Amino acid sequence: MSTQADPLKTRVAIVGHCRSSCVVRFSRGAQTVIVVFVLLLGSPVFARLSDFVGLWRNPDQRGQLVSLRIRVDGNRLTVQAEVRCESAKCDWGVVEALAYGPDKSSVLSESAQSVSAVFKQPDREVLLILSLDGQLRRLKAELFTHFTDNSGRVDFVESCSLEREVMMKMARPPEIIPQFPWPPPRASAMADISRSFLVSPTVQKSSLAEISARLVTALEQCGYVEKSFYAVPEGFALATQLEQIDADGTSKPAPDRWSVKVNPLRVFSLTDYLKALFTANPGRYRVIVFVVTSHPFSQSDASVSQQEAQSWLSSGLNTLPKSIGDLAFTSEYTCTALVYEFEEPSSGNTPVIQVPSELTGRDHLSKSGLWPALESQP
Amino acid sequence: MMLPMSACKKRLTILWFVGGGFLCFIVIVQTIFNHYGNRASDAWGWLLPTFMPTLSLIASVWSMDVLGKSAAIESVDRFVFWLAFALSLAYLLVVAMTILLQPFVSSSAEGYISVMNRSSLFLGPFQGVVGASLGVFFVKKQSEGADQNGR
Repeated sequence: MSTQADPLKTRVAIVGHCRSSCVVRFSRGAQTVIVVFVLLLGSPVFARLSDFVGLWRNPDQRGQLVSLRIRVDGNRLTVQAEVRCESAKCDWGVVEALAYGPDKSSVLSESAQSVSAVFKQPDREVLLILSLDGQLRRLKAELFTHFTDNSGRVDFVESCSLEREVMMKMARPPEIIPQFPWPPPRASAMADISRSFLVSPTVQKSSLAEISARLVTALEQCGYVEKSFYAVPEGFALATQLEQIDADGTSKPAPDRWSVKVNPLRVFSLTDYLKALFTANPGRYRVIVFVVTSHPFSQSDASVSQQEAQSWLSSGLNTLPKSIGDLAFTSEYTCTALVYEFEEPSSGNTPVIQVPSELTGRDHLSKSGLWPALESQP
Repeated sequence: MMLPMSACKKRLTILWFVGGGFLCFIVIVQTIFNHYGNRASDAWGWLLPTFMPTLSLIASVWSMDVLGKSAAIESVDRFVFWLAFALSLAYLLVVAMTILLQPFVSSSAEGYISVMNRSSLFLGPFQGVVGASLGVFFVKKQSEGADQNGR
């Protein structure tokens, strides 16, 4: 039996007229006869030779054949088989294969009907016959095993259907970065964050990704685990989750902190009780937006509603995009915290933005714990 | 065992006026601080019927006493007095509780008013029982006095 390479055109077998039975002497002629026999059992499918190419896996875990890798290199068609041995998987190596067309004038690259290959192993010779199904999704494999070690084992034939392994190369979607309203809507208060809080003195160059990381670390230290990134000119905006605060700017303890409505008292405290019993029980809410940009900016006259500020969390990105993060944090960059504070006069009423806030931006950052958290970072 | 009627009447009067005054005070402060928002009239609409009829009755009987139109009944059964006193106290506490527990039940004016409206389910019958027990002291005495004056 030969696996010698010949030009594919010369390997065309006439399969339409022969009706011989199968023999198990794997000479070139025998290969042809077996291929003819196999092909006569089913309706022929004419595929391009390239349709055979690829990695095919056997979904049947009990079958001898594990996978086949078929390649075409110029005129050379090769098959590599991985089979199931007693304890592991064995590689039968790469062998040259023969392609067969429907008639002797066929152009195999356009109308290949079947492929055969012979694997010679120390104890056996295996003839592999391959054909594609009608939709070219499955590769039917017939393995004719002839034992050559005089062990008395009976030659056998095994067939299986292999599936093409799809390479999961998902195309990366185009990067769409939500834009923060620019210039930013009028805030209740603002505070500039010192560069010394954001850049370690020992670091020569810093990127926006590193600045973002420091801000995120400080936010998480203060319980702001949910945040959202937006693009602003030459930089980014980082918006926090809407939180409920006391009149002095201190964040309410969870779970009231993240509630978007004023809840009844859960724990008795005389001060809170008297306040809730006698007053209108107003709700105060806050969103902090850190804007890191090299562009000087003012605030627009646009008034932002609580719902809009609340939606900043869900409309932005969960992480800073690389295209922004890679920008260098030069001396032109500043970091400004914009505080949007909303007051609900009494529970059930529509919260309105407080412009200006009774507290300064720095008070808000101090009471929320963010100022000390940023200040204490190495 | 009998108790002096005038003393019993005074005790009940003090209880009702102090209790009613306390409730009024709370709701007045709440109204001033806009606790009920634009639902203040609903709050007062709930509160006043809970104790004003009784206070009015008591006040009118005292007026009759001052005018000397009611006959003096010297004593009343001790059990009857304490039953009326306990029922009155319990009723006023339940009314107060409906207001004082608001912060734990709701956080909005609508919620407070809703609690008040729901409380009418049990306050109505309760008020009937309390009124009946007080009638022994005030209504009955008034009618007896009227009978005596009519002879």
